[in-house]
Amino acid sequence: MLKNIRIITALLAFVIVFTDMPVIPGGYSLSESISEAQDPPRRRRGRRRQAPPPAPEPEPEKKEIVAADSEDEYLVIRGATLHTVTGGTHRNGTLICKNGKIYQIVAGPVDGPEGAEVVDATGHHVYPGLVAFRSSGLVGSGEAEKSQDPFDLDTTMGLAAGITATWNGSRVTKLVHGSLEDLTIRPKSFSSINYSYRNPRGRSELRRAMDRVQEHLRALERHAEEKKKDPEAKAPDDKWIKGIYATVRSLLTGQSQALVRSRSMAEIREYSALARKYGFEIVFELAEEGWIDPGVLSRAGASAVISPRARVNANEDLNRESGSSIENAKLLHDAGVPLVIIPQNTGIALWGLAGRDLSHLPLEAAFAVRGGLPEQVAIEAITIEPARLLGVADRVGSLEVGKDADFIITDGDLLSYMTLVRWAFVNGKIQYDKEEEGILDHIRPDGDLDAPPPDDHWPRRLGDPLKG
Amino acid sequence: MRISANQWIFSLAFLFLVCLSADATAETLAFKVGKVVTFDTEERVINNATVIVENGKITAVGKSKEIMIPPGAKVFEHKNLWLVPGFVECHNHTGGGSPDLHDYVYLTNPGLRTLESIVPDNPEMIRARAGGVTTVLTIPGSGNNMSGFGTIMKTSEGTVAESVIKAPGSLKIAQAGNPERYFYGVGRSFMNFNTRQTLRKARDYHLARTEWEEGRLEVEPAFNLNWEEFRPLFRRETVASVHTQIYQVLMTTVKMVAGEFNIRTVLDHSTFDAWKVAPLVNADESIYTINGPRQLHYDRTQRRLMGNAARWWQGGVRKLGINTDSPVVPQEELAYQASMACYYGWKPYEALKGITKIPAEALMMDHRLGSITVGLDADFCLWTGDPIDPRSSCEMTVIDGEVTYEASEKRVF
Repeated sequence: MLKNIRIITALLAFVIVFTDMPVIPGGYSLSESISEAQDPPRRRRGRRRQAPPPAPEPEPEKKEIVAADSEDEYLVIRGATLHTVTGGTHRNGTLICKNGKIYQIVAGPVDGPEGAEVVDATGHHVYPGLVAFRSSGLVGSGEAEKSQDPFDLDTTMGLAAGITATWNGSRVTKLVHGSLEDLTIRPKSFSSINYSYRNPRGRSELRRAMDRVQEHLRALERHAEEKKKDPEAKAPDDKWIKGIYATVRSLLTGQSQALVRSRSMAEIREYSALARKYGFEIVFELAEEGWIDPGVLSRAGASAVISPRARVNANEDLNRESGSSIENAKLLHDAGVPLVIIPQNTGIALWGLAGRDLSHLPLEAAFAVRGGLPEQVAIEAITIEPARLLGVADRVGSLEVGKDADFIITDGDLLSYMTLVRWAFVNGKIQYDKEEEGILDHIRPDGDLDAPPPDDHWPRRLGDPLKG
Repeated sequence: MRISANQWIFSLAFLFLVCLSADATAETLAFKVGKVVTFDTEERVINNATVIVENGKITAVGKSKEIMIPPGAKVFEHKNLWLVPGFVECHNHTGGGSPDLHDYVYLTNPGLRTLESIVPDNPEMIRARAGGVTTVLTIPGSGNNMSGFGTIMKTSEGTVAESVIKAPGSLKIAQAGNPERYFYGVGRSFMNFNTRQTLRKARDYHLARTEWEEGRLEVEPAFNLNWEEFRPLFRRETVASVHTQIYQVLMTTVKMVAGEFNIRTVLDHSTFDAWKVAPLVNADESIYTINGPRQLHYDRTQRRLMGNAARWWQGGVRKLGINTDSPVVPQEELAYQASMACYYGWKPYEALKGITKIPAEALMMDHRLGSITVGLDADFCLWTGDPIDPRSSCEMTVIDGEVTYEASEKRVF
């Protein structure tokens, strides 16, 4: 008899820990209610992602614009190829911004309103400003309005790399040069949970907390029903919801997502099973082994923040696949996992080793293309997808009417290794101008491959003593 | 006569082996591709081209319609791929796998050889060939002023004897910016004294042995393992890979190693603001500048980012290549180092040459490596496009006429 109980308990434990079966009834309904409560709405979980439908070409005739004597500030970008990311690409399109917001996207050449600032970007490309999911040093910490150095070199370098927004760990913040206004878009925090198999005690504590909070949430639902009949009904006690319980409650009610740094497929499986069982949203960072079984992430509705070029050696002692793969991004995408791309070094590195930091965010995405990811998806993974994950897709991440006028104008295809940012605009204002800023102005000015070297030696901040 | 079962087995096995070896040596391969970037003497770039390989060597290159494919040849038809010479790495530390990087016994260890620590086909080399790298010069680290002799090896499968193509391949000298850490008190003046002293001893040994060999000395100078490998160096049959950076240090390298000791010199690293002394480097035609792993230099006084390779090029240096210093930058990312050089102002064709033909010349191996020329080793890769573009991938690697990597089997990079 005792033996049977043991076996049953072991089986049950196995089912809870190693499979995604909804052992506790109601697990799924909770997860569905969370997914409905998501903002902004996301595609259905586990579905293979469809390419965005081709956007209807906007009417080429211009709208009537009244601007003459109002105080509205208009900005018009003409002659460039507009890559809206979410709504197709327009050659020789026109982008019209008003008071720091995108006002009109026109497929053809049109005249802007009178008095508008006009940038002739013929031969250039316009992309939404890139969103760096994570960064260090590009913007101030916490509330950037209070901590940012407005003339920080890393901010300028971030803008030179095309990045106009990033998450500093607590807030999604814009990169702005020389000003402390309108930096913070929105606070954003993820919940961190530890469900590592290296920490068995923490695991059981977390599961217990999940169970207890889940029971509490059901009690709340029951209470809501009871209240209809009996207005005096006593609400369940929630004074105990502190610490880990508070974290778990914000997860189970869909107020936050879990952000987990997981390298191995074994860990990803464990966390995914937990997320499916209790119905919370999970985001995997690193996820180098995700390619081995991407369906696990997709079934858990997980997103992945990856560095396609990350390099993890296979463990030869294992009798199964392990280690990283250049095809990670492609395979995750094929399984329908929303992808965000970020380099392994999330700062700006000026000490010499080039191409491994946020200065080259688009090239990290280019390595995903090498592994088979479509270029459009690679661009989404550094623009709209991080914006969605950070909850700011209504403001940034694509060129759409009504969104913030945060965009970059490049001298070529974003994913090409010789493309430089010519201008970066944030809130409709120029924040970086390659020719003016001077850090990279000597490199291919006007696309000239044989440009002469820059003047040498004299510190520019002291002026040129020869000129007096 | 009755033949026993054993005899049958032996003779069958023998026949099988004969077939195998005949197959391996007599195999003829034909590659019909969309484009060949040759880097040959005429610098041809041929569209719709065919390359014929026999016995591990390139035997014909040209337009597909002009090249006759020998009967019985195995034909690889990839009309949408580029065929590019295998990359040559001038500064690698992973030919023995990662762990056996460097021996820190004394501040100068001139007699050591990386040949003793080579592990062909190690995981780093497998990745390297997936990144299009077919030859590496594995040298000891830069923690000492002189850390021994490097080995030029293919990244192919096989034994040490099969992989190694030249040993000693170069002498490693480190002039500044690392050996200081060896022990308290090691500064630039002592390091220069130390290097000069060591090179003088080696040269004296070489001259004495030469005199004895030519019959001008009666007593044989004692054989010395410390100095023996230096002899091809002083005969200019091999080169010195000098870890040198910052323009003052680079000046010492050019004056001392290349000038005073008349050694064929490869300026490895040549980073920070070293490009300021481009005129000095140009004055000696035998000097090669192989820039890396740092591809950029932030000039604080000017508040400008300089691309090191671009600045060398603008200074008129044409014997200019790129390295990874693997594992500092992973070996398979040699082409990405070239991408970075281009991002910061260099030119793609020159950068591609800077990881193929130029390093082959720098290592005095251009008679075997670095271009698609008749008679050279059949070391090349098939790419989906411009190899410097990170979006392009290496689909197939051929080393010595053998397909050693195929992305269609398992994509490694």
